[in-house]
Amino acid sequence: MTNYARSTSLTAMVAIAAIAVIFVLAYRSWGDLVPGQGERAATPLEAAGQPGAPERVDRLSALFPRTQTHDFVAPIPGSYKLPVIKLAGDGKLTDHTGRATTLHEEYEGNISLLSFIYTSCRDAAGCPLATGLLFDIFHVSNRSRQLAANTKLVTVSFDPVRDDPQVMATYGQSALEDEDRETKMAWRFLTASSRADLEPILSSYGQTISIATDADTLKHVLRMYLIDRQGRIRNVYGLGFLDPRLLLADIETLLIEEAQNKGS
Amino acid sequence: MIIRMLSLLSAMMLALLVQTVHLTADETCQSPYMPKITGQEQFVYVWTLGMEGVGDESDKLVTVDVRPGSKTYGKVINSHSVGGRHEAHHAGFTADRRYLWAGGLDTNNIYIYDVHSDPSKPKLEKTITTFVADTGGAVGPHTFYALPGRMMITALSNDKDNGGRTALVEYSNDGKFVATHWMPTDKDPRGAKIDKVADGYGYDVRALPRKNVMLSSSFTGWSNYMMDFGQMLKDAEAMKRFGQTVTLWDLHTRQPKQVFHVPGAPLEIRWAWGDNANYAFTSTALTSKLWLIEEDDKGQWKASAVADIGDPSKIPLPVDISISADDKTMWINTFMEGKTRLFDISDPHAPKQIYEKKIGNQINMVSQSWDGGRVYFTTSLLANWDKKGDDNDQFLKAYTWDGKDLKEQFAIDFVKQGLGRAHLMRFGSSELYTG
Repeated sequence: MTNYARSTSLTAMVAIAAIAVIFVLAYRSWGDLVPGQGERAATPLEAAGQPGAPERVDRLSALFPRTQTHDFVAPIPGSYKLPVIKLAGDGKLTDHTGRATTLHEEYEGNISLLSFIYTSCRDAAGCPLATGLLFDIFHVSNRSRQLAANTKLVTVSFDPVRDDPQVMATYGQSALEDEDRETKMAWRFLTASSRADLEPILSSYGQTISIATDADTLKHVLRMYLIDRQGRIRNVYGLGFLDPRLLLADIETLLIEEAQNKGS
Repeated sequence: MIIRMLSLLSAMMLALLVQTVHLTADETCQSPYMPKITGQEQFVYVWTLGMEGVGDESDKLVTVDVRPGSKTYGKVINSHSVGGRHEAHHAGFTADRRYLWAGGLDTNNIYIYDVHSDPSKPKLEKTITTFVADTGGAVGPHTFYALPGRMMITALSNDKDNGGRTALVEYSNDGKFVATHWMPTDKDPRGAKIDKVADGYGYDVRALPRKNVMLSSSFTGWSNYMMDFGQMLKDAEAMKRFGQTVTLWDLHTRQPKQVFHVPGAPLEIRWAWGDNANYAFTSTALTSKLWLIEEDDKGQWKASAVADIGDPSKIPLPVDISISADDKTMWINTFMEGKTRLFDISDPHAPKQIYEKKIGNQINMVSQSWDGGRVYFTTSLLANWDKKGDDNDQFLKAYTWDGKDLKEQFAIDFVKQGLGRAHLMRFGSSELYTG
């Protein structure tokens, strides 16, 4: 690596660490930057629960604003198709209580949104961004009984050395102990017992992990996977497409597809 | 209020840093989903067409060492022949940049190379030989564009009439077929708004994720691109069979939204990189114009010709284009002249040529490093369209660019080296796969 690239990398890392503390506030504020709109009115999400707010929202993607980083009108659920990409791989994992499970067991009976993270990730545009987005989806899921009852979030750590079940329990605590969790979509926090158990899972999903020179940072390409009830990957999301509106529109598209298949 | 302003400032700073870490690229024409090389590229991969009477006469992936100070700098250090001539044309990395997919426009084979295990020596991992059957009749896999978890591939033709009607095709990164999206036509616009005509032709595809759009362009079908160039020029019916459209798609739903009328075979598409840049360029091969496709203040997309490239009356045949990382300049090659031109595109509505240089008797592809300091050129367009005799240069030439002049660093004669017709270039680096 050239000196220029090395100094650029170091500068970037220091700056990211410095502003990571207030990233969540920045993520929330991003919606204010849509050109021409100035200060905007509260979103349905913010208004939800307030006097006069609707009891039920049919298109949950409509709860989230158009932003500068996702500056487009979200697609209408059911207006497009999600072709099958491949079968979702299986693998042995452990949940946050230490109970043994498998990915296929976790997917059983649900439309699932799979994400890979590691809890000590310091890249604010990496795992924290992905988890923040999942929290947004989690918190609105009880606005649709159909969504909450039929969808599950599955978060898997690819750092079995540091992310044991206890760490995963801490990482997912606010969801696992959410006072309204019974009405929201299920969210599972899983880890592997060993690299030997983890490797076939990563390989199956095309996730490549390498250890950076600082030995703490794990380099990976951020990905999420939408898996249907038959255990098939229907979409893969990367940085640039981690927009809650798109993920929710895709989940709702699968629910509509299921309803249409039942009716035909 | 103060917290909100502070958050906003932090968001802007973070976005800038995210841009630095995640969105900078080695060369400026790649999918935005890929990991990027920061700094110096180490290798240039050249997807090369086999040539009769040259070496093993087969298509091959050639690796050139471009590491400054290396004992083999500027030399071919590896070459993998796939056996036979398939009309090797373009190639593209998967989104994790670990594999390079390279296609043949004639046999429709797709070769998937492992470029991560040893970037100096790509290894053929898999060959897809079922493209036409998989896709329901698409022919001529052209652009290989990385999306998360899969490849978006443009085709050029179809197996019904070998004309230009064609499709966009998706494969999983494992090499399994996913979907075919036929281009909109006048008879079947598939919901697209048509400005004047929808010919159903294809060529390149590029995405702007921030706006959830992608653009595809239009060239010609198998019956033309496999025909001898001189013979085709004399065939009035053949000369009618060229694309005249650029299609705007919804990237997420893969639905065509609008078909612009861009006459004269619009080829390569390049989106600007800026955070708020909602525009792209393409150049037309037959009419020698630079076109701008942009979103206006009302959110409407439109296409307009913004500059001539050379003297259009002489049909210099603009081919590859390469936009700089700062969106201020663009290299544009003209095949017939063997010339490269640099345009100032800082005002995308009024591009101005600021430099030109003759590189050889014919040139096609151009690739530049992210900092713009290194620019590479190759020659071949199509086996049956390349010039003949002494005009049939086949080379890779590497230059430095200091803002004023291109200075040649090395040249590899692909005929003398027994390789073939040099075409598509992609950069490689071992640093992508290490800590």
